[in-house]
Amino acid sequence: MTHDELRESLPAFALGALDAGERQAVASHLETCAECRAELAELERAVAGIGLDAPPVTPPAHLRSRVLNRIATEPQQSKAHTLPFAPKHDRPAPSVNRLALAAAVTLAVGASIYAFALRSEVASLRDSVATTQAEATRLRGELTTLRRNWVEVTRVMDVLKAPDMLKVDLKGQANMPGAAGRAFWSRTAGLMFTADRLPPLPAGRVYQLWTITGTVATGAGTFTPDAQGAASVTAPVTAGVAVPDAFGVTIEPTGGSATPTMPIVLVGASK
Amino acid sequence: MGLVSEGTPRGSSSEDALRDRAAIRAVAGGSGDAVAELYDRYGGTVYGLALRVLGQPDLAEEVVQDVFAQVWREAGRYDAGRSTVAGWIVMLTRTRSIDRLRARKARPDLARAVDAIEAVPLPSSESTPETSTLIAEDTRMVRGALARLPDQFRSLVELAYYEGLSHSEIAARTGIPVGTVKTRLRSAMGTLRSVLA
Repeated sequence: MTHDELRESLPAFALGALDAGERQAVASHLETCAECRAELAELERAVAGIGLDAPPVTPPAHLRSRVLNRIATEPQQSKAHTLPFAPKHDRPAPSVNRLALAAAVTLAVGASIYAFALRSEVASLRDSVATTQAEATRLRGELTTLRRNWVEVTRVMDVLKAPDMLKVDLKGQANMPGAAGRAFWSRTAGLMFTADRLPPLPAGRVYQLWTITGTVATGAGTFTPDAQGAASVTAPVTAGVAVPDAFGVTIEPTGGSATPTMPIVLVGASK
Repeated sequence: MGLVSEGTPRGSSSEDALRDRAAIRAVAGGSGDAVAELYDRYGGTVYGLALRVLGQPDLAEEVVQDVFAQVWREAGRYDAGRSTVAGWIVMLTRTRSIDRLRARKARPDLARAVDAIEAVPLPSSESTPETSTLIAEDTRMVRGALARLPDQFRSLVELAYYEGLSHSEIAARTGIPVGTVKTRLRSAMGTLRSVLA
């Protein structure tokens, strides 16, 4: 299940209404997703509010001593440390001085417990600030990437929508028979080129795209294919140039060349 | 929101939360007195909720004992970042009550006989003055929102909450398709959550 689907299950999870399989999936997602944990905390508050909707009922008087007797017999889990005022059972009646002392100790311990509670509160707030900042940094990075992609997509769309768009298919030559490419060219919107099944190149070499008009080849950008052999290039088109007769791709030193180095590896004519 | 107008001043709820938290720390440190303090503050809430789920005073009393024993044992694991102390205690109460409800359902004949005999006592109108602005605030908001939910939404929330039924059990009980049950619960919970924001 995706994050979004799991997040949608949180209300039912908080209510305890998920069937076993789903509950398991949500529980393990929660271990790694701070966003969902925060959402769950809010939902649990709402769930607690439902429970508090049941009107309080004064319990029978004997219940209080039963509760206190019972805890006197039960050990605690993960006890931090033992304090000098354990639940009292049958102790002899303390003297007034001892009571005063006990009260002072209780106050002192109470105050230090309170301070400790506040300190851990601060620590946990500090934690969540750090988490939030890390998250913000990550999102900022993602936003930058998305913006860059968006500019790219807009440029591609402009080329594809242009009324003077010219489409040319490029075929791999004898040295690269499996490769193929396609160029979209518009005098107003620019040039976009995609290719796939390109073999990887040795270090220090890149592919370079050329527009060919008559006998003149003009460089239109260099590129390196990804692991699947796919690549794409966009480039502006200089105002007033003639419609190219053909497009070609060669292998050049990194940085590209001013004139193509033979042999040509992909080529396609515009008519 | 006209919801906040009546009753207690808002400012005191964070004091309640701090006082509860200090009490929990003291319980974690081994203080039986602090358990008594929490019992005095929340005993009626726990008993009331257990009665609402179980409908039987003797079982509800057992739940009260179980809940405060669990608070005693597990106070060291209470996570203030996740819920208020009140919320935690209510959550424990509901879980324990539903465990007992399921155990009782496993013996339906006995349960029916007991149900016929037991009368549910009337809720006490007074709750201790300490019981508590903190509870009052979240509760008033959620209660208002719960009351405004259409019946076909509220009844599903109540089946899930008070009877501990899952999506598919609610669907089987009500004849409503399971997809609809899911959607309605989700939207109802969204409403309840939004009033607490």
